[in-house]
Amino acid sequence: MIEVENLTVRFGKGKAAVTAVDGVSFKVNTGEAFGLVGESGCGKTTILRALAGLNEDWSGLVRIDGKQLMPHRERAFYKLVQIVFQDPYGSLHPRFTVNGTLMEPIKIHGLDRADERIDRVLRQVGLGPSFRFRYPHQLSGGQRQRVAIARALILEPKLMLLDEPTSALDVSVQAEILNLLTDIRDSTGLTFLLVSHDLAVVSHMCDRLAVMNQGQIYEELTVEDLVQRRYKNDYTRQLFEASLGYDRRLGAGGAALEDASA
Amino acid sequence: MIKPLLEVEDLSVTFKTPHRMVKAVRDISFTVGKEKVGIVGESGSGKSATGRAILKLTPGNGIVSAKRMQFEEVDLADATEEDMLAVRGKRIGMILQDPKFSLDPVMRVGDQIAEALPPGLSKAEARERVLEMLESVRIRNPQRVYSLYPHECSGGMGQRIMIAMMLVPEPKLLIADEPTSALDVTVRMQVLAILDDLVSRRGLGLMFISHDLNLVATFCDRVLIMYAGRIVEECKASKLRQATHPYTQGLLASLPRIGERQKKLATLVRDPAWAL
Amino acid sequence: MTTAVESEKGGLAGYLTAEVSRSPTQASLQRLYFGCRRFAQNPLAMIGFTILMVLLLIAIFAPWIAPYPMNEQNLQTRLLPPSGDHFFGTDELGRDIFSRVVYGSRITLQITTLVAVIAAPIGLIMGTTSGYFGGWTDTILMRITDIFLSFPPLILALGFVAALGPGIRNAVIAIALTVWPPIARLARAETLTVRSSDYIAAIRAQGAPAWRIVVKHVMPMCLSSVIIRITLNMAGIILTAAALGFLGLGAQPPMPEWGAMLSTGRQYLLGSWFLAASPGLAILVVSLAFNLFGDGLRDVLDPRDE
Repeated sequence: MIEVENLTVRFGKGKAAVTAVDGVSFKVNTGEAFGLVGESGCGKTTILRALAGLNEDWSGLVRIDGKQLMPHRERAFYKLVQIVFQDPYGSLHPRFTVNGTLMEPIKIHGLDRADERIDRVLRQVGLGPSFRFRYPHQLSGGQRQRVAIARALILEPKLMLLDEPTSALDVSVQAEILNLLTDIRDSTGLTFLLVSHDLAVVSHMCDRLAVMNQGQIYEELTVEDLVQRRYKNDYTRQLFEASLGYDRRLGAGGAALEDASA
Repeated sequence: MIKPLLEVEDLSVTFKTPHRMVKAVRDISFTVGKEKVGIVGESGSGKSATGRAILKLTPGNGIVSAKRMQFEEVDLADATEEDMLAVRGKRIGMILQDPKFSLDPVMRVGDQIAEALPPGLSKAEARERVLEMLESVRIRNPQRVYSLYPHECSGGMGQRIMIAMMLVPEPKLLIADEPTSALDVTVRMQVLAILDDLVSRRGLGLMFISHDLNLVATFCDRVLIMYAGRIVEECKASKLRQATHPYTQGLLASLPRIGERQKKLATLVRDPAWAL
Repeated sequence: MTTAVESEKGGLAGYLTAEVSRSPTQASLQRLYFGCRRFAQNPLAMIGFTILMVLLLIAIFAPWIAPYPMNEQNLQTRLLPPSGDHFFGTDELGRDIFSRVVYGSRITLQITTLVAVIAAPIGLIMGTTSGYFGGWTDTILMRITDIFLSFPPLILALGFVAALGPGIRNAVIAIALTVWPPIARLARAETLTVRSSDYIAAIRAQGAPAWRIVVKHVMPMCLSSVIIRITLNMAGIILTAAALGFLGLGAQPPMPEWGAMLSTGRQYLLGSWFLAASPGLAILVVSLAFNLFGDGLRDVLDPRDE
């Protein structure tokens, strides 16, 4: 579904330019769930935004569904690929009701049977029709994220990009949203590209994952490899051990590393 | 039994909104000794309001009431604002989530730490003390860090500087409100290790407020679980997995774990009785 | 509990306060209703609103309210002090000042409305376009704005009226030209924050064309601050209009424009204070009312302080 070769994203020009993504390559098969794991600033979200067509300043070769992407996209592209953002409080337009938010993609792409589509997609994300005319401020964080997922689903895409979809939510709500995403994948066969800092979430959702740091992919491995601790990279080990909880030994070891980068 | 540092009895925090009164914390009692006490809960459980109420930093529309909040010889429950000045920042320190908002952006971090020192020290003495403090939070190159501005520091460095600043007056109790949530996992470990050392070496009490069950279970000695403004359960951190309250059990079950591949995560079914 | 109770309430109150809206109309009406309720809780804003409503009624029903025709001269009764026959006295040509002030409200309302209708859209379009597209578009549009901003508004208005010729229509155009640049700046600043938000990224990721994003998604976010700004500017617009009238470049005699009346009154200030006092007071009260109303609107439309 996705083939990325040597993707590079730079911000700024000349000497002040920052390379956020540095020659990254990976492949995601159709129907697969692939995770990009890394800490803040490692470039994982930048990759997602470049794929979604939100940033036109990239170089490299990207193929989605067999078609090579140009920095500028055609309208049909957006029916193929949809994105869900991290912060459910910022990703819904505060002046639009749920209905208004879901109506926009229908109007943009000139789809028919608007009411039917909205009802179906709201039911799919576990919100009843009673939510249709509410404003975002009348919804909880979890409900908002459901609306954001509904918005991504309404165009019936083949690929869903998920940018830390649960990191702004409480754990109990996170479980509900992750279950919802699992259900959606089971029923539609969507391909997922999930970006997260949380190894546990990625290992729960994905089949394969890539560990990123400083704009590069350090290691690509299957979840099975991760669980069996068959990682080769030292950074992956650090991430893995840190995600198990606090350990005195780890805290003492890492200090030198951070000072060097600061 | 050794007398605890802080004894809180029947603490309540109520917020007035234009429409109604919201009880954020409802009659909770707990103690903190020379140990790491974790307060866990989801957003809106009242955990942060509890931390702020102890230092009387509750915003203007909030009302704090408590039968007793004994901190050493002071009862914070009926302390005046003047009494609080002698306690706040001096005998009880507070660390917040994001150091960026707590540091003065136009002042070198070393000078900011020096401001917290008692008056009457010579410049050289003050500098020496600050470098010492920076070293105690495991900053390798204190000379260089001394002259940095806050925006030149990474998140982890900033949080360590905040801790150094809090430690200058040698407080007895530290209240840390999600001190590591804004930090990357690898850096998080170091900051936690520093806090851990402080408790074991200096005999500090630490109130560690967090939403991260996993972290609290592995880091703290004792855990209080809050739900809807009440403490629903209190247990030893190492025994958190054997927690008995259905809310705690539900929360633990809803966490995804590496290596426990289940198709679906358990979801929490909230019982209205928990909030009573 | 409250949900159940409120949804059982019938009639209009139930419709407006229902927890769950059942149609887009109901959702918008509820918004409006709660906005009005908030506004009504602000006494000063309500005073401003009431004054403006009274002004509107006076303007509409001027011929019935005014006891005399606005231009009826009677040289026998010139410069009479306020009395039962002439509430505000008479002017140098024996015209009833009260009637003239009443008719003058029409001119004032006309000018303010026209200026708002011309300046707000220009400012909004310039600001949002420049903020959303950035780059060259931004540079060119903002330099044009800067040129207009670099003159004091009154001087600029004077210049335009002098070039276009005196008269109300030209005064309106001239004032509108001085009012839009700050609005464009404001709209641009708002657009810059809105542009980087996730909900704009979300609509872009759905393939919306740029014009649609600007018109449907960015403009509504800027609209409230523009409305607040223009309402607060109303006082300035009234004063500029009065100043132009005062200098003889706005409304021409015998039109009962408040500024022009004030200007004539100045010559008789020592002997007959009421000539200048009545239009002056009218300007003061209406400007104040617009300011109070604007402050109230800001609290409702722009609830940032919560």
